[in-house]
Amino acid sequence: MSDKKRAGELRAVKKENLRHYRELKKKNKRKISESEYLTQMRDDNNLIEIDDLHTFFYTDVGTVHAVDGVSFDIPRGKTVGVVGESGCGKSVTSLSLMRILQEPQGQITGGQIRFNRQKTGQPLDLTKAPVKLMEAIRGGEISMIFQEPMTALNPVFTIGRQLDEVTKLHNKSITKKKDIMRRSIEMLELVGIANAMGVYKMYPHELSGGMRQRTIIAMALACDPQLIIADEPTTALDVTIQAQILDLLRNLKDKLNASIMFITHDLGVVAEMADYVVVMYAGRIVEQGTAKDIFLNPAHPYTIGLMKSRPNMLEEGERLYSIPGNVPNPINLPNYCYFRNRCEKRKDVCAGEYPCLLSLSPTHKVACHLYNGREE
Amino acid sequence: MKNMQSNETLALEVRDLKKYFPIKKGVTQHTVGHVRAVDGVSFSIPHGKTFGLVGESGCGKTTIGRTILRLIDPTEGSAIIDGVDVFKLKKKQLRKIRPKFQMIFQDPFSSLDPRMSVGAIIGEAVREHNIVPRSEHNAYILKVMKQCGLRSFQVDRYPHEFSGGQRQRICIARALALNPQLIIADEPVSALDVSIQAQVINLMKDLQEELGISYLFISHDLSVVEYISDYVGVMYLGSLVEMGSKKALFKEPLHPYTRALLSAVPVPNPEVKMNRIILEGDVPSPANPPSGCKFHTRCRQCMEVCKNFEPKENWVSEDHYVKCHLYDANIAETADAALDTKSE
Amino acid sequence: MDEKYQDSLKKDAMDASEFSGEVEDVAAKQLFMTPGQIVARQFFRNRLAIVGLVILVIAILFCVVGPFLSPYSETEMFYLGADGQEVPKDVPNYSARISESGARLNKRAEPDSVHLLGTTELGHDMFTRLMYGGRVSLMVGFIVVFVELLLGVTLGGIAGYYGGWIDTIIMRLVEIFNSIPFIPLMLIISSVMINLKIPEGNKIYYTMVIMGVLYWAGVARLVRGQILSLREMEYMQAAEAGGIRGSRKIMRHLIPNVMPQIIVMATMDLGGVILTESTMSYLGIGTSAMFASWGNMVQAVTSDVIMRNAPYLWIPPGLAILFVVLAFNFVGDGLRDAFDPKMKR
Repeated sequence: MSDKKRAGELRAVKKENLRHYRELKKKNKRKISESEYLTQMRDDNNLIEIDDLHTFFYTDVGTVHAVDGVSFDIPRGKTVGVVGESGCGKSVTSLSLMRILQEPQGQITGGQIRFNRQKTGQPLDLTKAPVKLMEAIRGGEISMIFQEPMTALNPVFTIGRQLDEVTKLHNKSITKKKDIMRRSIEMLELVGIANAMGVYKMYPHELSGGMRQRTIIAMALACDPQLIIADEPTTALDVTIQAQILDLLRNLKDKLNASIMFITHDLGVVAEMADYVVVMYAGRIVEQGTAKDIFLNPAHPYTIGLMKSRPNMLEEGERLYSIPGNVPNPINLPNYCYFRNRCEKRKDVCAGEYPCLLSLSPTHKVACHLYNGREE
Repeated sequence: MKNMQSNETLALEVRDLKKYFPIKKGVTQHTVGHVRAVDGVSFSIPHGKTFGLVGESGCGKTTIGRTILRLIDPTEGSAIIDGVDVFKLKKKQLRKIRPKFQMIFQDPFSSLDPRMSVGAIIGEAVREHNIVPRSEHNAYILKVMKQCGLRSFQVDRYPHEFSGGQRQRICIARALALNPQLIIADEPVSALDVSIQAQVINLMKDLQEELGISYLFISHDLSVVEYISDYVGVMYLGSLVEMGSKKALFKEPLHPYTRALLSAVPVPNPEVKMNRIILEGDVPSPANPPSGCKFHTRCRQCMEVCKNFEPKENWVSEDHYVKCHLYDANIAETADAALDTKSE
Repeated sequence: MDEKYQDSLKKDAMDASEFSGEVEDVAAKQLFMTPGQIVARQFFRNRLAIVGLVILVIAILFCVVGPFLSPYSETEMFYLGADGQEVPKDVPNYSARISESGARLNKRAEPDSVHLLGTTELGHDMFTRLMYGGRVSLMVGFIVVFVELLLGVTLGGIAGYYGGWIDTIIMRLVEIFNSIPFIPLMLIISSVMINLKIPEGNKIYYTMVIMGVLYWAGVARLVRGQILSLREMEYMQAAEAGGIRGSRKIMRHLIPNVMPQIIVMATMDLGGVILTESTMSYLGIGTSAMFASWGNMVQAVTSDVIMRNAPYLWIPPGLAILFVVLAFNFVGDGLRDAFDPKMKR
C-alpha cells in the first residue's frame, strides 16, 4: 500500500472516530429517564445476563471490535470463568460490565447487560444506566479484584484507612469511627489475615504480594457485593500463594452467596474455580458450557488446542502441541471464522460465514462448523 | 550426578555459589547485614541437557542465572565452563568467552533495544566476536533468523512491530547466533500467552536437539519445567532443597516443599479433586532466614531437630537428593544430640 | 483499558499483515536499511517539521549570507538633507550636506524602496540591522546550547553510567547550579564586565559562555535520569552478556536511546536561549546597543507612541524571534518523532 493512500485512510479513520466521540458526548449529556434502563430478566435465577454485547474501540488505526456479540449469563451464587488469551476481549467484557471503559475511544455500541439488582428488586440494563447510578453500583453491588495488587492500593495511605473509606462509602448505616474500624478488621480476618490489627496499620509496601491480594479481596468484600469480578487475580502470584488465594475465594463464595466472574488465561485455575466456563477468541465466544462440558468434552478446535498446549496433560516423550500462527488482526477481522487460519480441522465450509453458536447439549454451546448438522 | 561426570561432558558446573547482597543504611552507607539471595548452591549440567531451576519469586533463582553470567559478581563459589572458572576471569578475558554462554530474558519487551533493527540486534555480538567473516555476516543472520522461525524480510524491522512470542524468538536468535554451548533462560515463556508459550518451548527443544545446546531453564512454572528439563532443582530461600533427574523428582517428590509446590499446580480437570497441600504464610525474608532448615516455619512435618540443624544432602538414589531431616537415616541420633545439647 | 492494550492491538495488527504472505518478496529488497535513513524518511514525512526546517534555513541564510548582499553596514547612519530628502552616500559633498543646518538624522523613517523596513531610532537601516541582529541571536542560541550540552551530557552521562560517589558529587553540583538566580547574577556579571573594561564587541562572547555554564545543570539531570533507567533495561544486560565492549554499549545503546530527549531539550533550549538573550538585551545587560540583536531591537519600543505609530520598528524583530523559536520547536518535535520507531508506519 502506498504511503499516500495509507495516510488518506488514516485521516478517514480519524474523522470517523471524531464523529463517534461527539455522539458519545451528546449521549452522556442527555438525561436518562428510569424507563430507559429498567428491564426484565429472562430468568430470575440469573444475576447478570449479558446479551449480544458489542464494545468497540475507535483507535487511530481503525475500529477494534474488542467484544463482538457476546452473550452469557452469570447465575446467582455461581462462578463463571472467562478464558482466553490476551486481546481476546475477556477483560473488556468485564470493563463494559463495570462501565469503566476508557472513553471516548472505548464505547459500548450495542447489546444489553441486565443486572438483577437485589437492593431495589428491579432489574436494570447496565449499558444504559446513568453515570450516577453506576457509581453507586460499582464497588457497592459489583466489585472488582485486579491483577496487580500493588497498583490497586494507594501507597501513601495505610491499609486500614483505605479499607475504612470503602466501608464508609457503601455502608451508610455505620457511622461511628469505631464501628467502621471494627468492620474493617473483621473483613481482614475474613480473608485469612492472622494479624489483622497489625495489617490494619501497615502501608501496602510492607505487605507481601499474597497479603496485598488478600487485602484487595477484603476491600472488594467490604460492601457485601452481589458480584465479584476477579480479573486475573492470581497471575502475579507464586503457585503456593495462588493456591492459598484460590482456596480463600472458594470458601468466601460459599459464605457470602455472591457470584464471581473469574477472568483468567489459566485453564487450570478455571477448572478449579468455575461452575460455568466461557472461552473467548478475538472478541467472540467460541465455546461455553459447564466446567465439565468444557474440560471433559472440549468441542472447539481452539479450546482443544489451548488444552493440548499446556505441558501438564502430556504423556512421557510426547511433543507439546502448539497452535500455529498468531491471533488475527483485530481491526480487519475476516468475515469467516476467525480461527480458520490457525485451525487444523478446517473444512471448505469454514471459508463461508462466521459460524453461529450451536447447542451440543442444553448447557454446552460451540461456534464451529464442524458440529453443524450434528445438532441435537 | 552424585559421582560427577568428568569435566568434558559438563556444559556447566556450579560449585557452592553464594551471593550476598549487602544491606546498607544511614548516611555513611555502612553495611548492617546481608540478604542471602543465593546461599551455597551446587549443580552441573551435562552437554545437550536441560537443568530446570524451580522456585517461587525471591528464592534466588534469577540471581543464580545472572551471577553465572557475571552480570552480578558472586560472593563465593565457582562456575566452570569449558574448564574455565568464569568467576575468576578478568573483564577482558571474560568478554572473550562470553559467546559460550548466553541468556534469554523474561520480559521480551525490555530485552530488545527499541532503536535497533532485528538484524542489528542479532548481529551486534556476532560482529563484536567475529563469529563469521564479515562478508558472510548478512547471510549468517538470515540463517539464524530462519532457524528461529523468523522471516528474512523482518530483518530490518524494529522490535515494537513484533508480538511477545516473536520478540522472544528474536531473543533466542540473538543468543543462538553466538554458537553458545549453554543458554540461561530466565522465565522465557512466563510473559507469553499459552498457545505462544508452546511455540517457544518447542522451538527451544528443537534447537537443543539440532545443535546440542544445554539450557539452564529458570521458571516458576512446574509443568513447563517438567516438560523441558532433564534434571530439576527445587530452590527455597537461596538453597536447593531437592535435586534430581526429572523422572525421579516428579514421580517421587520427597521434600515437603516440593510436594506442596507440585500439589499447588492447578489441573485443568474439574473432576480431579486434588488433595492439596496448602502452605501457610509467606516465604521468610532472605535477609533474616530462619535457623536450621529454612523451610521449617511453613513445614507441616516440622520436627524439633529441623529448627536447629540445617539438613544435609540425603542421596536417595544415584541421581536424586533431598535436603530434609525426614530422609536422614541418622535422624534419631541427630535429634537426640539436639535434645541433649538443649537440655544441658 | 490503557494505552498498553491499544499498543498491543496495533502490534497484533502488524503481525497479521506481515503473515499474510505476499509481502516477503517486495520487502526482501530493502534488506538492512540503516536507522539513519529511516530517521530521515520519518522526519521528512512530518509537515510541521519541514515548515520549521524551511523557516530555519531561510533565517540562517538571511542572517549569515544576507549582510554580504546588503549595501549598508550594521552601524551606518543615515541623514536627511535640508530638503528633507535622504542624502545619498556617494554624493561628493556628503559631509558638507549632512552638516548643513536643517539636516538631521533620518530616524524612524517609514519603509520605502531605499530602506526596506525603514530606519531605527539612531538612523540605521532596519533591514540590515535585522540581519546582523539575527546573527547574534542565532549564534548566542547555538553556542550556549553547545556549551550546555557539552557539559551537561558529559557530566550527566558520567554520573549516570558510573554512579557512586561521582554521581553524588555531580548531582550536588547540579543542585547548586539550579539554585543560582539567573537574572540578578547576569546583572552583576554585566557590571563586573563594565568595570573590567571588556570591549563592547566581546561582551557577548563572555555572556554566552556564562549562560552555557549556568544552564548545563538541567541537561545533566535529564541525561543522568535517562541513563539510570536505561542501565536497568534488560537489553543493556543482554549486551553485557553478549560481551559487547563498553564503548560500543555507550555508542550503540545508550546514546541513541538518550538522543531524542537530548535533541528535544536542545531545540527547546535553543528557542529558550534566544528568548533569554532578547530579555537580557531588552534589559540592557546583554548585547550592547551599538551592535544589533533581535532582543535589543525590540527594545526600541520605549513608549506607547512608538508602539502605535512606528510598528515597523518592533514588529519585524519580534516576528523574527517568534518564527525562529517556533521553527526550532517544530524541528525538535519532528526529530523526536523520527527517532522514535514507535512512530514508524
